[in-house]
Amino acid sequence: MGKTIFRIWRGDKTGGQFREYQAEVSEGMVVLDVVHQIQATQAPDLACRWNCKAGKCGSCSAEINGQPRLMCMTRMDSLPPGPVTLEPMRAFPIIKDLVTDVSWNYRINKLIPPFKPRPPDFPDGTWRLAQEEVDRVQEFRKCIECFLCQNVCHVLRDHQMKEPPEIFGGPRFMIRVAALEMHPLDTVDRLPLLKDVLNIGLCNITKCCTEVCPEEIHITDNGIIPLKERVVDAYYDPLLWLARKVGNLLGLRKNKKIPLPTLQKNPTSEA
Amino acid sequence: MDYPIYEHDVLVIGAGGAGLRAAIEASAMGCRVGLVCKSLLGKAHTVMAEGGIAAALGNVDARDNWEVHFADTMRGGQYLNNWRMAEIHAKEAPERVRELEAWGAVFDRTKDGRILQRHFGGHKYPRLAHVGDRTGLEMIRTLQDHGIHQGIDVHMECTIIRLLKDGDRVVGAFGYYRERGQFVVFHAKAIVLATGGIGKAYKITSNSWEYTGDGHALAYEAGAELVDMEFVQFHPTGMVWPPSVRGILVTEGVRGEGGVLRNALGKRFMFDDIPEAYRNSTADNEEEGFLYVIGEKYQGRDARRPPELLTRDHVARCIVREIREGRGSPHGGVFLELQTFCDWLERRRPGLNKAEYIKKKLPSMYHQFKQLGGIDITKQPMEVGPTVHYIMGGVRVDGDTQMSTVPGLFAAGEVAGGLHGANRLGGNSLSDLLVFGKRAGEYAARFAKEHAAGQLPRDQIEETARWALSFIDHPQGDENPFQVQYDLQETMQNLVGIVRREEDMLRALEALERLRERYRRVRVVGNREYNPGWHTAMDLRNLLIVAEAITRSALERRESRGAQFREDYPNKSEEFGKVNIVVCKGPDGSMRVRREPIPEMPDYLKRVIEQNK
Amino acid sequence: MSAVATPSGILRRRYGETMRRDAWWLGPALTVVGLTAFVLYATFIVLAVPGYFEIRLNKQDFFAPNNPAVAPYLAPFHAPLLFDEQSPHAWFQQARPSWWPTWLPFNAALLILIFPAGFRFTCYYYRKAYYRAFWQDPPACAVGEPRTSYWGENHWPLLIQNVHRYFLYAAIVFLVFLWHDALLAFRWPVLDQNTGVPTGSYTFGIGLGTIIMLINVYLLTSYTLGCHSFRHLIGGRKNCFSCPVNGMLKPTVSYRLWRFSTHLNERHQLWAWLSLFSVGFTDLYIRLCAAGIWHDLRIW
Repeated sequence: MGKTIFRIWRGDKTGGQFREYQAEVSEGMVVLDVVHQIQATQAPDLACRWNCKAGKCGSCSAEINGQPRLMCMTRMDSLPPGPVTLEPMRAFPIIKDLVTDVSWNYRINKLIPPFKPRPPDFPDGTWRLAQEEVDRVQEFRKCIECFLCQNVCHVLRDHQMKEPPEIFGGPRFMIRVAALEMHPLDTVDRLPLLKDVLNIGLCNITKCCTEVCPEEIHITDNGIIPLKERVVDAYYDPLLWLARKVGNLLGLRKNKKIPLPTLQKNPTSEA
Repeated sequence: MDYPIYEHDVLVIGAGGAGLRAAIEASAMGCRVGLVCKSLLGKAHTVMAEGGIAAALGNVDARDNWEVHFADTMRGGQYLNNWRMAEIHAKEAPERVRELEAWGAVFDRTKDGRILQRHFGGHKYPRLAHVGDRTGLEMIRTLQDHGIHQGIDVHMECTIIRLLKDGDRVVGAFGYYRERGQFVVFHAKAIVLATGGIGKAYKITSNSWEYTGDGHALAYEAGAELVDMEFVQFHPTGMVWPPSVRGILVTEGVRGEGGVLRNALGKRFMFDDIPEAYRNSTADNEEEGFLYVIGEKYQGRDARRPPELLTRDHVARCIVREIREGRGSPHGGVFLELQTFCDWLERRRPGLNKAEYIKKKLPSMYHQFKQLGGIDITKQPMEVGPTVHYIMGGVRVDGDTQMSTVPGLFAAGEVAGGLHGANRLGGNSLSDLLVFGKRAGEYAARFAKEHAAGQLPRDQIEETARWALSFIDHPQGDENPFQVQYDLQETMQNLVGIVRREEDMLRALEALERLRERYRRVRVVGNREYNPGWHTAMDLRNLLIVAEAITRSALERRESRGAQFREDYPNKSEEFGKVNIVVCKGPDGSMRVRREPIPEMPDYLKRVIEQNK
Repeated sequence: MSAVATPSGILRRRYGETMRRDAWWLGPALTVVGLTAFVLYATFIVLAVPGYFEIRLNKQDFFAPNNPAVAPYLAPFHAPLLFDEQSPHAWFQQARPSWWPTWLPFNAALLILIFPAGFRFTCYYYRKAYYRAFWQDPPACAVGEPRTSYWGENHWPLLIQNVHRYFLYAAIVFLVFLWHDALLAFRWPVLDQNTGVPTGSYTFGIGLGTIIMLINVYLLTSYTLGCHSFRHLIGGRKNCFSCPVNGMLKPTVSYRLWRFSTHLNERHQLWAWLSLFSVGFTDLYIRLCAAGIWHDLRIW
């Protein structure tokens, strides 16, 4: 295939610019191969994250020609001819070159109460679940945490709603909550968290998360929207509200308020 | 000493399956736990495990139990295994899997709603609990999401470059953060190594950049012993084309679902060479093998497995033979195809949508070949060849406690040696991580409770910091770390690969000596901030240590057994069947090799093996 | 590099700024054209074209007295037809409701269009389409936005989108009417061979309009039953489709319904556009026939 020009963003949080590199591209190469080639021959200090190189770990997220992609799964021959631009994810603070600080995502994850199953169905501590039941949850659990959805989500990317007073959990954690909420065995109610802490209402379902998901998870249709509908059930539907009130009066339901978690401060321990 | 110091009861190095499980256990026992990971949390190589977790749950075949699993593991390991570990492993794996489910893992289900189990090479019954072909991801995510609520301190993108010792015992670790390159000291009462493998010592490997034998080298430098280092598992099926994906794993599940290996002449060569030990359990015709795949009977009895599902060492050698004798595929592999099986299945189930069937059974393989190779595996054959996948050898530990010969230093998972003997069965590594991760965490916590914190050695810290910084703008340096690493991989691939000879390995030792010489002249440009060149330079020390350990151990074992095939000693020897090869650092700093007799197995285990012959 | 790093190290794109090299603007542009065309057509019909919702004998003057329908079609914008003096489709045989102010122009479609319009306006797919195309929030994935402020659907006024399920209930009722109308389109009035006036008896028949109405209602059904709220209602809200207690696992009716709705939901966008187009086209087709500009083809 011959030579291709790569324009790679080089810099750190004080600023940076695109630098041009010439790469020798041969059959079957992916973008990450080119980055490694440049690293080994021209720029040994070019920073990039990668691990498995097979689309399974979700480390090498970047923006290739403006599109959020995994570098290891983007074949060079799938790109249009001409120079290739390569830049870090835009929604997160730059560390260096193609590496961004994604620690915010780990802080959000900690807000979500863990799985708590119902008591086992059998004395040996096991449950019975049909495959049909788990199909729905398994789709969400395919997530490799590449954070491309978080990166492309305009609420986090353009509006940066990551710190109080109003934070948005982002598609990744909507999916994680969905996997827990729709788990046939789970017993925890995370709807208050969804509505008031992760602010699911901030999602305007414009679906970019679904478009960029390398695992092809239907984030919006199968995860976020069904959760929105559950939030409507619990908070906005007047008929269901009435039914609950009547239920409460008759003593059929018990309302138990669980305290909501708050986002921890960015740890500065590493400084 | 102006480096930040973190105080922990237990420090776990490595956050894959074993590290996470150890951290969870130690934390549950009330310890303050620090967890160090070289990458981001949840990216460890465990996510690559596809096949499943081997555990004798007996959900699919009720005849399965720990005894059969134990016997299978020992047979697979050619009886060099630490039998105590193999016993514990087989007994405790089912509980560890059920525990995972209680923590939120969502396994595939049987018709009656239990955890589904699949066939795998070397396992007598369907035994691998799995989630499609992404079991490792499910496992690591479950442990991660369970662990983050336990109060474990996670240090991400942090690499340990030295274990700190106070007298005999380990008392801490010294490392650096990738982001800024600043050094950090961990003060701990007990340390668990869970750093994984050594794949990056080879050119063609399924392992990522992290797998540079850090734990092996750290333990070795700290005075611990390494065992069975000659046994490097070549997974028989890695991708071979295009060049940039060479080595990426093609799961054994492809063969488990009916995949057939063929040479360039179109011949299914695996039927030609079935080892004596497996003759009774291997099909001798295509029909029977396929019936096994779909779990049906053959002539009224249980169908036997197709020869493609023989142990990994054997299948890899057969593939190498085909390639060497000129019957390989165009890009230097052999063909692996699903069409024969699907056509056969279509004849049994008319109207079967073959393409959909394959996509459903092997979704990520379908995508991997489609996206990376431009190949549609529902219509075209794959080209595959052996790839370095796993090292059976590792830190020599006590079977019950996982403690190494250095007090306070524990090891679990791939970095620990012993369980797998000369060859690991597929699926036994995920269960290994869980069973011994838990044990290492538990006994490390006990150790931490029984011992006070030791004294941090200032000189060791300063010495290591000076060493680490010496690479940056090294005044006499003229070597590129990436180039030295590449040459090391080339050496190991060519001279200490699947087929080994004494003369090659002696040449390898000379080459390693030259590489060590060049290593002293490695120079890194740029600063300490997220500088891959610098990281590679430091990892190289570890690679050089494990490369030497592998080569010296392989030289010492003058026989062919399991993963080691010596062209100059093509048969098994009774003498070497009774010993493990152990290496450690001698007082003069050079590597010592010795033979360690395998302890006598107790009678009840002998009986179990006899009954399952 | 045009974007400058902020102190937090995040590079924010300006409006329309992107490194994308593909035609990212094409999708939103088509949405604008499609939705605008439909809204203009609907507004025009409702405000400027009284009558002509069915094919009558006198095509020049729709409201002429004793002007009977000669074909069983009903334009979908007028379904259900609540008020009309002489249509067989009308629920109330009067020109307009008695409470309607006389100074206000009346069109029977006014009373009902709010429901299908509301259903589509609050539909999860259309929300995506118009937030992107009209509100540019975002214009396309990884393309800079015009505004920094943002409330999403977390606050008024867009909190109202949560009403979607109530529009769904209405839409399901409408589906029943539309199916009724489509089936009635097989029931043709027998016309006097000389005068063309309906004799009062009916016969089975199929016109091109019948087929168009049938396709239309099929598409509308696929759109409505693939609605996210419907999918939630019939099964999605459950965590357990068949949770056994020491028992057998058997997929329930609710699971099957959910699967069916999921199947439709996977192409919700396609159904949304096809049904929008078909409603407009069916309506236009019948009105053109009603005005005598086009002539329906009787097949059977």
